[in-house]
Amino acid sequence: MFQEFNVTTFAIIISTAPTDNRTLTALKYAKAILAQGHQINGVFFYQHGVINANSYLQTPSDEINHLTAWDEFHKSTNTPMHLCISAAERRGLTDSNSPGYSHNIASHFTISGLGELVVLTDKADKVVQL
Amino acid sequence: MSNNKRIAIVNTATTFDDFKAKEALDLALIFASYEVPVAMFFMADGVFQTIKQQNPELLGSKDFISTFKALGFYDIDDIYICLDDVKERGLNCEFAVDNPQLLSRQQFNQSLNNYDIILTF
Repeated sequence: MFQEFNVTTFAIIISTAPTDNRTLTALKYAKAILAQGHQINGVFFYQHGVINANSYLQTPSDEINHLTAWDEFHKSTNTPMHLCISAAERRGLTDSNSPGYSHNIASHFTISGLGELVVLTDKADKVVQL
Repeated sequence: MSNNKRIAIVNTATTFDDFKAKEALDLALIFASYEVPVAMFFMADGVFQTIKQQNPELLGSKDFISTFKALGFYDIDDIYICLDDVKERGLNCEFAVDNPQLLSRQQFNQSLNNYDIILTF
C-alpha cells in the first residue's frame, strides 16, 4: 500500500566547536534527515560552530576530523554550508587579503552573514539549532 | 520575509558567559531588520542580562546591554522575563529593558508556545 510521504525542508544551525561531541551529533542528524528523504536547505555555522571551518584543524588519526567530515558531507550531498563571517573573524578565521593574513576558511563553506540565516529560516519548514 | 514565522530568542546564560548574550542579541536585531516578528525571552541565568548597572567596559567589551533600551526602535517590543528566576537569584533591582513583561514560569512557558521557532543561547 502506497503511503503518503511529506518531505520536510530543514534549516540546521551548528553552534558547537569541533572539540564538542555535540558537533558529531549534529552531523549524524543532518545525514539522517537526508537518508530519510527529507531536505536541508542549508547548514548555518554560528557561535563556536564557525571553528569547524578552520582549514588548519588537525586531529589524531583515530579521531574524527570535523573539517574533513563536513567536507565529505558537503561533497556527497551538495548541501549549502554557510559561515557567519563576523562570528568567524572573532575566532581567528579570515578571508582577508591584507598583509599578515592567510586565508584559513575551508573551501566547502560559503562566506555569509546572519541575513542568510534569516532567509534559510524563512524558507525552511523546520529550524533545528544544535 | 514571506512566511513571517515568529521567532523567540531565549537567553539562558549570564551577560558575559562565553559571548552567548551578544551573539543572541545580534541575531535578534538581524531578524528584526528583516521585519521578522521576534521576541526576547530571559530565563534561568539569562535574567542577569536584564539588570541595570552592568559595566561591560571593565571587561573590555562594548556595552551591548544598553542596546536593550533601544529594542523598541528595532520593533522588538515583546520582551519577557521569568520572574520566578529573578526571585530565585535574589535580584531586586531596576531592569535595563524598557517595559519588560514579568511572567511567572507558567506564563513564561505559555508565551513561548506562541512562537514558531525557538533559538536558545
